[in-house]
Amino acid sequence: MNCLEIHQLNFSYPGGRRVFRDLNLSVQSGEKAALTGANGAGKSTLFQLLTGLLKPQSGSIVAWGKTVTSEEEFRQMRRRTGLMFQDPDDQLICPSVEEDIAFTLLNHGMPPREVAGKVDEICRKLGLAALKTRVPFHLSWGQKQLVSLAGILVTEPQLLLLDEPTAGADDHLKSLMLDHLQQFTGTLLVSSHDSDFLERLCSSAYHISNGSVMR
Amino acid sequence: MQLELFSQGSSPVHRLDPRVKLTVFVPAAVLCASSDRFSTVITLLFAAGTLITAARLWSALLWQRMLVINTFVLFLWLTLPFSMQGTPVMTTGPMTVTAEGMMLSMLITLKTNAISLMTIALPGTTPVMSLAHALQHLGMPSKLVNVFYIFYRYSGVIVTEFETMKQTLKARGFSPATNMHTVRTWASVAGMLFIRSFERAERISSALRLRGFQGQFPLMNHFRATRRDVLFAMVSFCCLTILMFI
Ligand SMILES: Nc1ncnc2c1ncn2[C@@H]1O[C@H](COP(=O)(O)OP(=O)(O)O)[C@@H](O)[C@H]1O
Ligand SMILES: [Mg+2]
Repeated sequence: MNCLEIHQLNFSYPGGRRVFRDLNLSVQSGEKAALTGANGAGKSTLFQLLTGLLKPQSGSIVAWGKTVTSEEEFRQMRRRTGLMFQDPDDQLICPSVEEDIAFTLLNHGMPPREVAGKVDEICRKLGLAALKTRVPFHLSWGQKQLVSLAGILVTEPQLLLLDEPTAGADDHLKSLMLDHLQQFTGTLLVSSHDSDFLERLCSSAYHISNGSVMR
Repeated sequence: MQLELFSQGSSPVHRLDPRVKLTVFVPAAVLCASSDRFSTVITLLFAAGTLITAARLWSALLWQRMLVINTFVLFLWLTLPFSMQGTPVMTTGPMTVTAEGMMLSMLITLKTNAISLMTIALPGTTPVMSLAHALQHLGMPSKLVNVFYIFYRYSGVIVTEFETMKQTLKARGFSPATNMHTVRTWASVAGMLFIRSFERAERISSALRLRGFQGQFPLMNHFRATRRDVLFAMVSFCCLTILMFI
């Protein structure tokens, strides 16, 4: 089954030039796909369209066999999807690492006791146990990225979208991320300029240029 | 962060329920600010000092904060005693110091110190997120609470962005002077900062939507008022009532 399908998608920013022209894309369940393209090609825009944060002028998005159009449908879809932003400061909003990792689960109404257990587990896995009570804003860039990844993985998403996770990451952080992402069993779509990272993580690749996608 | 300088600790005051701290703090500060009696203000100053002791906060950092606050008070002493009408106590040249002016300056000094110490001892010993939560519990609209919290969270990020821009300017050979070029440069820095903040706000709002935010920050550990909290509230309110009516 396809996890994700995009049909004939057209999008331009209000008053801006056309970003996507009749874009088609399908990603299979469990596929680990790389998304490449020059700066400004539209990778970040595509991630936002896929999660309903931006609305296309025309075209449709199908997730797990169901067309998603209304805000409610996107809300349901977002519960099963994790999107990691390029700048972790956009994502880390809580005053402590622990609370930030718990944020999404608590928003989804999971009981705090259960959340605490899951947070402990993911912190142990990603080696964040020592940072739990720290203020995210004061962490190093790499630590911030790990915390925002933890906040996403803890929700056990079926679809994981990573927007340039390697930008600003050093080799150590990259190999750490690789270790954890290789264990991820859901569907993965990663944009990056780091071909080595993509090669080691992904089994397929899509390239955006001139507003459409090539395999 | 400035707001959280004194918020970490395990003293009895740090462990008080934030809702109780706020409900005691607001009337106490209002009473202190509006009172014109030395006895009331001195009692409140003493009470604030006791809270600081209980919170184990007497430190070089605290004295340094108080010094900053009292620098402003100093300016008051340089003007008020000379400008008030009343009984002269001392005359130097054309200037006359009045007893009323001295008394008023003294009162304001005491008030300033009392309120500052109270602020550090009560809201200051509470992490900002808990403070935001307490405000929400006490009936403040959640929009305002979120503005307060998000402002706090991102002010640091914006300051950092500004610092980076200043560094970049310096690296590119800019040195401020009193000329048109400087004014124009600062204006474009301000504009850039504004645009960046706006764009960041959009990204943060996207991130919040992605993470299922429902308009209120969830809390992992809920407040639980203990007998100690109730006792503290009752004693404080009794004292405040007595101070108001004597
Ligand atoms: N908020 C916006 N408003 C207008 N144009 C935008 C906005 N965000 C991005 N763009 C434009 O859309 C295009 C795609 O941007 P983006 O998706 O960020 O590319 P990428 O992530 O591949 O570098 C670029 O030409 C960019 O200038
Ligand atoms: Mg991008």
